[in-house]
Amino acid sequence: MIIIDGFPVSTPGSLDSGNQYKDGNTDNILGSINPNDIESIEVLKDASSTAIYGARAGNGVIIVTTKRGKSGAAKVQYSGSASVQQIAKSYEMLDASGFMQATNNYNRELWLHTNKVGIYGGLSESEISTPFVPTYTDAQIANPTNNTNWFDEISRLGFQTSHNLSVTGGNDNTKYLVSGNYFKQDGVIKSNAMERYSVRVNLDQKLSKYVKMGINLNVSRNEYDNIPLGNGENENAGILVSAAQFNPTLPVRDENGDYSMNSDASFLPNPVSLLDITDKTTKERLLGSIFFEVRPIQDLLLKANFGIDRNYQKRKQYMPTTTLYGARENGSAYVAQGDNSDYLMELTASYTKQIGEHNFGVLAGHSYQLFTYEMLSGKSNDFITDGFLFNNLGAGNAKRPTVGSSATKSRMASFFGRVNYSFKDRYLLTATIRTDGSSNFAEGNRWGVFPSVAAGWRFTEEEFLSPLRDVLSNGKLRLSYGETGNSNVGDVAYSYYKVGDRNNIFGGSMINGVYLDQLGNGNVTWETTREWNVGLDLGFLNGRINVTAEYYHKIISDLLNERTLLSYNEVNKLIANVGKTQSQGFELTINTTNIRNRNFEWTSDLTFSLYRDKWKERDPNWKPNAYSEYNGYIRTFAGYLSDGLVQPGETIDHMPGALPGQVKIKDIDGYVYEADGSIKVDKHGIPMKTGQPDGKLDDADKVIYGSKDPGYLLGFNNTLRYKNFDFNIYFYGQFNKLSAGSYKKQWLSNNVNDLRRGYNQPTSISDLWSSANPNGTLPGYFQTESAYGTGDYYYEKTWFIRCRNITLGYNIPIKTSKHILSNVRVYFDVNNPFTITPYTGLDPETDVSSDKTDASQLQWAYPNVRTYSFGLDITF
Amino acid sequence: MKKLLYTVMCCCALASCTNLDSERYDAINPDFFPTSEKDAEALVVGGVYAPFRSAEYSGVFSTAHSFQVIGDMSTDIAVCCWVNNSWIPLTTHNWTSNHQYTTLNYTDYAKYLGTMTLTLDRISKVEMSDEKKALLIAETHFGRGWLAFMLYDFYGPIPIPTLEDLQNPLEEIIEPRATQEEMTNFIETELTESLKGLPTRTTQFGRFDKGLAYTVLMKYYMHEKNWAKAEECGRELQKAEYGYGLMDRYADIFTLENEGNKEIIFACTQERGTALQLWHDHALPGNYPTQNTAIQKWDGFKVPWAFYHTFEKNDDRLSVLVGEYVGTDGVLFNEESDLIKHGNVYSGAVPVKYGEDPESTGDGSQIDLVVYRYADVLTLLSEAIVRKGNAVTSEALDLLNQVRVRAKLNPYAMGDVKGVNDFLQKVLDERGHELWWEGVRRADLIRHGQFIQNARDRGCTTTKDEFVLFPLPQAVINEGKGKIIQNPGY
Repeated sequence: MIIIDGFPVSTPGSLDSGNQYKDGNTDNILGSINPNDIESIEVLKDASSTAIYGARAGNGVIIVTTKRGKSGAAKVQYSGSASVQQIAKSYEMLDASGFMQATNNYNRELWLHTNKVGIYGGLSESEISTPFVPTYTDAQIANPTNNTNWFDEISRLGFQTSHNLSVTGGNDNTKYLVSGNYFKQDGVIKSNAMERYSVRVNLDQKLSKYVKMGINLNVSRNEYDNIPLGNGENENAGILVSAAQFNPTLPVRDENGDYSMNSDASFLPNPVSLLDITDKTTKERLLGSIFFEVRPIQDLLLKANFGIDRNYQKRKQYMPTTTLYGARENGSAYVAQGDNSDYLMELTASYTKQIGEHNFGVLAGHSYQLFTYEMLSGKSNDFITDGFLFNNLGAGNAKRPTVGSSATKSRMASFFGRVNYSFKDRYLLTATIRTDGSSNFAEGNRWGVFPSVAAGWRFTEEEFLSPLRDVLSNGKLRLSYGETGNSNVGDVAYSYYKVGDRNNIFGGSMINGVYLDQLGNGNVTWETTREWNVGLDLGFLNGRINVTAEYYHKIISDLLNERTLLSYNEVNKLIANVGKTQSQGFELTINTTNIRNRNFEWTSDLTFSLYRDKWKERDPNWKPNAYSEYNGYIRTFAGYLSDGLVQPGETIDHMPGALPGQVKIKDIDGYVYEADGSIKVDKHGIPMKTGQPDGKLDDADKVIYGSKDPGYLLGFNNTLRYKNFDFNIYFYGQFNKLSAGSYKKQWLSNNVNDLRRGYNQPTSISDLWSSANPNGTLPGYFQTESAYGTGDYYYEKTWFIRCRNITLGYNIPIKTSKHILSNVRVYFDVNNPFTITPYTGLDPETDVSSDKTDASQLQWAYPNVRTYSFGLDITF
Repeated sequence: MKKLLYTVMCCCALASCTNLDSERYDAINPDFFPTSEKDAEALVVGGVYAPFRSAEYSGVFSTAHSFQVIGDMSTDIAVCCWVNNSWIPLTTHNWTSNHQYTTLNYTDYAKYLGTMTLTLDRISKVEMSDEKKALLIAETHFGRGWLAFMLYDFYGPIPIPTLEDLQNPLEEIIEPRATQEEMTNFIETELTESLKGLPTRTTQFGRFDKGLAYTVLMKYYMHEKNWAKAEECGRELQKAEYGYGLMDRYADIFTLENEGNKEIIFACTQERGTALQLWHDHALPGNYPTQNTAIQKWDGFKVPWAFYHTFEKNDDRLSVLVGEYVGTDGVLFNEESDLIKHGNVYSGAVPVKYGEDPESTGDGSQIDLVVYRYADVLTLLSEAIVRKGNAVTSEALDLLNQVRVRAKLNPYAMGDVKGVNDFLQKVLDERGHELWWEGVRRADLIRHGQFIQNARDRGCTTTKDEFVLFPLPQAVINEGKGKIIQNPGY
């Protein structure tokens, strides 16, 4: 949950492209905020501090506070930067010669297999009437006519620039901040770009001695040039997938100037042709609120805040006739617009009182939110010219142009109260209670009550520790318990019929089909997180060393999740409260000032964290697999265990028909059967197993490999300052994380036989097992013919340490205070300079492929970039 | 100042809101639906007809994974040369309860039995003309019977939920599989019941009628080896009032111009914007020449060369089962070049079958996808007569010859037939040549007791006698928690 200046904002998502290509483009709310406007960002994690934010705060709260005006002469600040970006690591695919050689190798192995030669059946080559004929001659391989690197054709050096100007000022009655921001990015993939304009006005006005009002207004407009970055394959291949797969022996354009096509895969779009698609998204965001503060007596503050967060977005897309699928439809245009508006009203009253060394605070409040969404879209095709783009849908000759619209409204209401008490700043106590109501649930289940309490003890204030004060300068023990609710599942309480996609044609006319689309669950109610949090803050040597240790234990009960019903139901899943999970985590932060003198300062921050999320209690209607664990990790990888590659001449009883070079799967277990042939299950419904191999491979032989979550995380930040120079270097790392294997492994195995239709392959194909390469470590050409897959053959625990950025800055000394400039800083920054890892793919952190269990869903992630920036900050 | 203070306080008091209604404007609230004849019809279209479509990837007749395609793929008549896990386990008889395509039609469509049971209940309460109600109820019974039969043919008896089970989905009442008798009773009763309300032939092509119901009943009786009843159904369909007949040319059955022709008993109707079938997408190689160059060609489905060689050279049906052509790139396609490119397992002749949709803009054709046709009925009738009497009659021979003559082949003379078994083999072969990729091969081979041997002859080392039934999806076994028993052999 993100709160900007008191407004809980939601992420509106992006409209889809309207064509077969899925999107790669995502962004978040912070994309509409000028980073230079931010005064502070606070992250609240423990349940007591998030409690007051209620329903949507279960996973923590990020509070963004923007800068406000200060009284005094107007202050003008400028900051700007310019950056170039390059792809940090690119996909390593075969060049034309390598591709031709690989095709020959594949065809030869296929010929051996087809004709049962050698390891595939014992015949000798001379016995075969049709000899093997390589597809490409040695001469062709030595001197390829074309050698297209498709990634080079679609990528470029990225460029990024930003300019911010802000003015603050005011007097005792009026304070203001006005800022403007311009940001432009040309991505490392051609035609992929983004521009942002934003303006912020924060105004505070004193109306009288008792009354103050203010306005926060942020207006932004983001414009995107999208390209098809999705992970579809074949006819749905986006630009990255197509660049990876397109035949490198083809030129970009053929002799007629048209985009070249692979006739063996006439459905795969030429990657460069996809750059011709015009696909624009505009997002306009208005985040505005007005507040009144009344202080009728010294200790009482009444506050009313009214706001709107309006997200308007529009997507416009045109596939011209120069693209494969644009040509087939004779041009295809799509326009969609969506309007998400959230309204907020929040009323609070707070009272504080100090009596001697006792401090009291009381707060009570009410908030109400309304969320609305409306969408409209239109699509047509068959245009007389590509020139209209999406600006003349009516000109399309489509037989049935597609139109769509939808609208929803939902609401949330809350009442909350909080009491603070502290004594001598030594003993601290906070208690909060909150009741939330959500329209996502049926009447009777709408309201949830969520209390929390926190206590703190600043023990270094105690007399008995005063002798230690030279060493232990600060010490605080924190303990909190809190409950928070979650209702963020959409409108799931009611059943709905839907019309549209089950229509039929009878006697030549279309007739609507209506069907139950959502099965409502009237019993569904709030998910509750109960969290214990213990924290210890220690400061040594007058703050030279600060240590914070944090432990949390939380139980989420009535977990809101999909519940699968029995398969015979017309709608066989719904959202329900399904069981309990349990999470534990530990975080350690150490800040040290290693050296500090007049000219030189060196500070370090080290963070360490780990967490474990497990099931505590399952839904009584849980439908487990044979390999499910009742209290297992929430996110897991599971499958068969592998045992190397099948060797020539080897027969495996439980894998009949296995071919040499395929992954050997272990038979480790079998079901326990009742006399009637049914499987015996335990009290949770998990099938029981004999513990003995049973001569066949089924779910009984599958195991959970482990959690998908990382073992632990580390961060290490160092800042050095010497005179006017400053230097910062930041590392972070993830350790002991299970990976399913990179594109060089999993993807190669699943797609290597696409060589027959001219799909390119990763260079790791040289490690592929074949009769000519019996020492190859990757499964052979016929792995896809195995019914059992690759099991855990590619799984490995992996780790990385990434250098996130290196910054060198210099404050230009300003000699005289009369100078128009009061402060000037220049800096040079390298973002993502290097990563240390044994992982062989592009990036162990962001490769989607490393996170998928189903190998058919391997994706081609957008390559990460390395950014070199030069920046300038000026205060006038 | 005080005024302002009071104003703010009043606002606060007034503004306290607890209205928590949610509103959704693009869906239908069940409190007000169904109430009219039109609503009831829409429910039948959305709940009864929906599974029997071939709408791109939707429906049990979707060319991507229909009952026909999956059934044929387990026989000698079909392969897919994508060489991927969707199809290899079917071709090699190495499927499991976790194999997606083996179990897909159960996973995605068995629930429609429940939908139809609920639809019967929902429409029975709606006020409308008796005639319309009778029709909608008959259509729903027929849908239930037909779907149950197709599932039974693939998976054997399955769990059949009661109306009470379905009305209390959160109770999760586990239904064990029906017994053999319960299952066959259910199918037969539903199909027979539907005959009461269905018209002989529908005037709205695409709707169910008696012609279709008798065809399904006939297939059901053939499956149950009830030759007499199967024969009755076949004879019913021969009656003039049905108006069925064979087209003069084989290729003409499957064209846009001849949609709804006299040979077609049921077809999934297609129209851009509502439903498109993906046959050519799946069947045509990338360089296959078509008039409309926009037609999508994924180079997938083929008829293996071994089966292709069983056709007589002058068989007219080879006009749309193409063994040789010059590609758009000038490259000659034939058995020799295909074997080099694809090897000898996942290769074969091109099952073009359908005419071109000149308006196709890539994925999908608007030509109605043929599900059942009269040539199927005639040959089944021929088989039923011979099996019932255990003697080859001239009528049976004539029925078979009608199909041969249409294919421009010489009719068999009585002297060509060496006994009942030889005749039955000839019917099996002829049906293979007539109905390739139309989904009859698996049931035919099983009925003739050749399904498993045929697979063994092709070199399948993993097949088992129990593979005449596919396994229930593993998820269904898991949800049964011991109460739903897997088919033997898995």
